Amino acid sequence: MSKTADLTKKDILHIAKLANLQIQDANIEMYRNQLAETIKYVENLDELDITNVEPTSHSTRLTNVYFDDGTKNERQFTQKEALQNAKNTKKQMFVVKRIME
Amino acid sequence: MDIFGTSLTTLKEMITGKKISSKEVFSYFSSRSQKYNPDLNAYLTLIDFADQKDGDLSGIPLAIKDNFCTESIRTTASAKVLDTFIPPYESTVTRRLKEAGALFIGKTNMDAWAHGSSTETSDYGPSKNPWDTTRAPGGSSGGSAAAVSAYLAPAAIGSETAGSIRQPASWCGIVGLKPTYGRVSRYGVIAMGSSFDCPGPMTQTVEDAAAILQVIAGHDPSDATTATEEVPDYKKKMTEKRSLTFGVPEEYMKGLDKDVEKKVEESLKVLEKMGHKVKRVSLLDPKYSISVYTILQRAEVSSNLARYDGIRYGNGRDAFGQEAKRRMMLGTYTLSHGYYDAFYKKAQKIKTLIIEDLQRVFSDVDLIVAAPTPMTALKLGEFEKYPFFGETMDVLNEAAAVAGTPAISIPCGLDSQGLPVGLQFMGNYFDEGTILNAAYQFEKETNFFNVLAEGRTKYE
Repeated sequence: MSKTADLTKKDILHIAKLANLQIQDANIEMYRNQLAETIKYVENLDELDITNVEPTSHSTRLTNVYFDDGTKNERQFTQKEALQNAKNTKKQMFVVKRIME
Repeated sequence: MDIFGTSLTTLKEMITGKKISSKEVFSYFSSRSQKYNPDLNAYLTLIDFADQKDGDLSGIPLAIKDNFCTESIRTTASAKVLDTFIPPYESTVTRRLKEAGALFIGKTNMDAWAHGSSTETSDYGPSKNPWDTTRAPGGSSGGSAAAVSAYLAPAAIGSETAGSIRQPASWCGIVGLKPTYGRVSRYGVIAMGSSFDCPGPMTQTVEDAAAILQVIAGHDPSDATTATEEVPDYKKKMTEKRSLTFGVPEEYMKGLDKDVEKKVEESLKVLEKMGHKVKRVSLLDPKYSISVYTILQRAEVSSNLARYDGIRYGNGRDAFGQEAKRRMMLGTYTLSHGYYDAFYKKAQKIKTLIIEDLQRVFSDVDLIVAAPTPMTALKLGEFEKYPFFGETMDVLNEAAAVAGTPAISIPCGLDSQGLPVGLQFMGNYFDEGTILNAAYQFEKETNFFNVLAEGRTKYE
């Protein structure tokens, strides 16, 4: 893929494929322009010096949160609850597309 | 009994004192919601009366943003992907509210997946601003803001990733509090940017915001990112007599609409008159917060929305709207092989700089004061004129969102078109108490210039 904001049509189709999204041919140019505009905008971060700066993932810097051994899982669904919103089920299971021939 | 405009706190006293029953209160808001919702589109789903528990919010009907999972009640996040989704479980926030005795009047409209600042990206049509129905209420918690503003609910729950509580609160003339990241559980909230998302109250008064925060704040074993810090008594913190130092960042006073700037300057004079100190400070240009937020949030969106495959629940990925697709694609791009360091990691490093920058200022002042958004409510459809619309509207909200610090938006007057203007107080981590204290004092001093009462006369 192109490194800068110069995204090609091919790049857009590749990104869409990675994101598992179908996009219409008529919209490719729109997405290309919008993505390029955003990528161009965020280049302003290059103005700041980040040598020796550590990245932050969690704002209040929590680390390593564990459950105690033997903690009861109160969030478990019954099979009926787990399936209640599925459109396609068979024998109390989700039906998915075949992934291997 | 006419209860129009009565605050949550006063309603609760009336219910406890048996001056009115919770059922009467509920049917009052229910019939108002039915009457005005066709004009405002604030609610996607209206809910029937249910028996409630006894607690600090006994009998109070609340409007809940539609990205909070409510057991057995349709929850869509305003996205057609989840058009028929009936959650089999309750979010921690709504569970805590129910346990405190609250009732739910309806689920409110929002930008689809909370992607936006106007509710115009909702797959169910935009909400309208009660002040002027040709205008947007802001977003993404626009339905919640409109519901409180038109008194279709005495208070509401919203959620904020960057500005989604403060900006609609400002555009609708109400109070909106974004707590510290991790102060309130995200369990059962349909995830947008997981390192930013914060549920919070949207209310008519500061006291009401404190009352709701008291119920929803605190550690939750179901959300490992919640803080274990003790939850203080917010009402006590709110009512202490304090003289505070406010810092006004010069960089945040640039590019404001003239009326907004004028109202903020007038509010600074009010704060000084009340005996507080106001000093000018300097922060990093907020444009960097926009970039950090844009990179991190889009990346998290692409990951969070990857789970919607239509297999276990909801519709397939072809049901996503353009805004969601755009965000997922940008996130996918910045997270793809070879780009992670150039985008995501760099943004996380600048997040560190933004945190340090705020910490430097908070060592010198109690609160930072600014406008929550550079302009007042725009016309529906007008956003198309602004490239980067959401980020432009939230430019003044994004530093606190990126850092995960708390902030409030409160009304501070009307612009020359008669639309409400907001004022923002930003505080340090877990210092919601000081924010509420300052906002409460300001409310006592000014009664928020009667903004809300003026705006809703047509809904009486």
